Amino acid sequence: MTDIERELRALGERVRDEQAGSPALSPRNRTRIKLRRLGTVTTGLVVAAALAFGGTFAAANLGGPERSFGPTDGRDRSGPALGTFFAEFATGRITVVADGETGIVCAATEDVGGTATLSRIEIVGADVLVPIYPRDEPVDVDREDFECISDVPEDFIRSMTGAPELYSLSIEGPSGTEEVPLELAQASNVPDRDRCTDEIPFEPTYLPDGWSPELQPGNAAGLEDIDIIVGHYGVPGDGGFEKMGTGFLDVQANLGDFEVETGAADISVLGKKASLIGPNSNGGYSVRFGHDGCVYSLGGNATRETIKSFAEGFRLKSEADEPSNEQDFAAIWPEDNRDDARDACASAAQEDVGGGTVSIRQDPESVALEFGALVLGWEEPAARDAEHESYGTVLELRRDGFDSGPRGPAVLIGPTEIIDGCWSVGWVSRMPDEQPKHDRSMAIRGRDVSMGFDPGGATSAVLEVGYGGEATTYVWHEGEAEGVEFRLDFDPHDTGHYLILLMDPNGEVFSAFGSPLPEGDFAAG
Amino acid sequence: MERAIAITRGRASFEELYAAHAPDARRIAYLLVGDRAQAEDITQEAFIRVLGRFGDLRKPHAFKTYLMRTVVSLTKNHFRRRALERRHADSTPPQITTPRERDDDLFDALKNLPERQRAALVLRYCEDLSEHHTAEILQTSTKAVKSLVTRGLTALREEVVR
Repeated sequence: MTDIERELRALGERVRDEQAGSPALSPRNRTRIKLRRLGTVTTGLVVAAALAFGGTFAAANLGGPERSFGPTDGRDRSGPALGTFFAEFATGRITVVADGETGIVCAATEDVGGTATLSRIEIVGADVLVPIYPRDEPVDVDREDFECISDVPEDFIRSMTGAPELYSLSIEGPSGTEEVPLELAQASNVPDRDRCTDEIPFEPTYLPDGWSPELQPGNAAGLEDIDIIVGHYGVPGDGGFEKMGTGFLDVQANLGDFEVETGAADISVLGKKASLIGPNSNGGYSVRFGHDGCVYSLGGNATRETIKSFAEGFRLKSEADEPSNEQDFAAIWPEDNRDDARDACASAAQEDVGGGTVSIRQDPESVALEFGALVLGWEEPAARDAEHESYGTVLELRRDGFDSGPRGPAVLIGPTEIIDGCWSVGWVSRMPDEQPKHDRSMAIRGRDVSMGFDPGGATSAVLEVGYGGEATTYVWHEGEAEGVEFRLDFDPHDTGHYLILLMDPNGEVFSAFGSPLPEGDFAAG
Repeated sequence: MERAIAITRGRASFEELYAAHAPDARRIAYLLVGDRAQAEDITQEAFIRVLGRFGDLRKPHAFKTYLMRTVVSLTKNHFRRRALERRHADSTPPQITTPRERDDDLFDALKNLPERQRAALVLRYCEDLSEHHTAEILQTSTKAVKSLVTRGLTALREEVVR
């Protein structure tokens, strides 16, 4: 044992010796406990009843936050990039085009610009969707319906169903007609795919107030260190960044300054050196690849960093490089990584709290309530199923309960069954009516964190970024720029999370949002 | 001991649970936040949350673990709040500090560690808990506890030398 260890033990002993008597619980606190225990009886009965009836919280179609696909920079996201993404997950014949504003796939077309009526939608491994779109039952799908389907990310489905395989989205042509593969629309910013343009209009996805990028022209000759990240990270509503798919290549340049999507069919292009050809009139840059490199769609965030050339080890990642399911962990609390969750869940299963019937971790509502109490600091939060048009288990958590009167502080929480029978908070999101106009942005490179966020009227905010059980917080204060940069206290490893707590003038949390972060460097926005 | 047995056999009143576990909770809270008044508040709040939520408990060991876990979580909130208060008070970069109640360099150095490292050291050494029990309270793996402890000790040494 080292000196420091001995001294720590001695410190513990000294503090133990100094303890004189135990102040009793104050009468007020005793009353608070009694009131809570009365409330617990009701909750416990409901939970026990649900379990007794074999209620599967996971399978219930309880709604979820709206999730969009891809950067929401107002550009037409139809095109090979998006099409390839869906083709990866599609079986049968499929054609998709994206909604120009949101990036959500919204209709099938036989000809670009035309709308088809689909005869069948099958989502394999996504039983949660069945109540809305019954399997093998012909349904006519119009634009609105389709929006609801296509934006269910793989991880989300997997977590809801426990299905180890990728889900697939199968869309077939009208019944009785031959299924014909349809051409995908090209990205609107590439007028002619065979003749790539050098000048692609670019607009940052979200440039936070006060965050002044110092993009330097003339970087074309000195490109370095553009990261290649397989998988696409979109901004699915307020919940944060979410891996929307794998199997196609996504390039995200240094610290999120650019995000270039390209389809699998064009991988060869990426072996060639990229060049910067900006800045353009919007203050950003455009990027192209190789002599015939087509930029199919482009979005991203401005950065203070200078764009550099490809790193020495630049190469394309193949499917073999893809993280396995084992690594594909996605939760923010109580654990943000699989090892910790596995241990905690094993431990929780033995805790046998709540009168010996239900452990917190076995019940998504209890996990959400714990999150409200311990993380948001809400004294007596209340939760119920969210009235939200989406999929999966989504709870609305309110600080002041659900009695009549003003709603008060509230958030949406997405519990996720991270390990069989053991629940975590998968994400937390602002309420739909509090969603900001702008998306947020985030980039993590080594220990360096850049975050842009809309404070939504907060007087202050706590920004937490954690990996593998460790976390660093940054305290933001009204008047500061909405784009902040800070360094982690540790080298990030494993999967992680970010969480932003929005505070009122009294330092009380009135809203929050957060999302899991994948292992390794990350950029999205 | 009789009280502990009674608790073990279940149906202990919350006053009994409080009497049995509050000193440990209070001590850990104090070691983590360095302020006795705050530690007392955190202890009482932790009991309210745990007892209020779960009522009668049949497994006191599970209760204690959960209580300690709640104490650690509440201290984290405490530091967030203090950081906020400091930011309101002045515009200097946030630094988490607590009033100096003890003339103890080690204690001061401990307070400057990242929260998780500090909690791991307090539980492992000051409270003499096993790695497994520490991991249970911190809701992490024993491997992670080892890592937190190693890095915490290194950082602590540097702090003390400085």
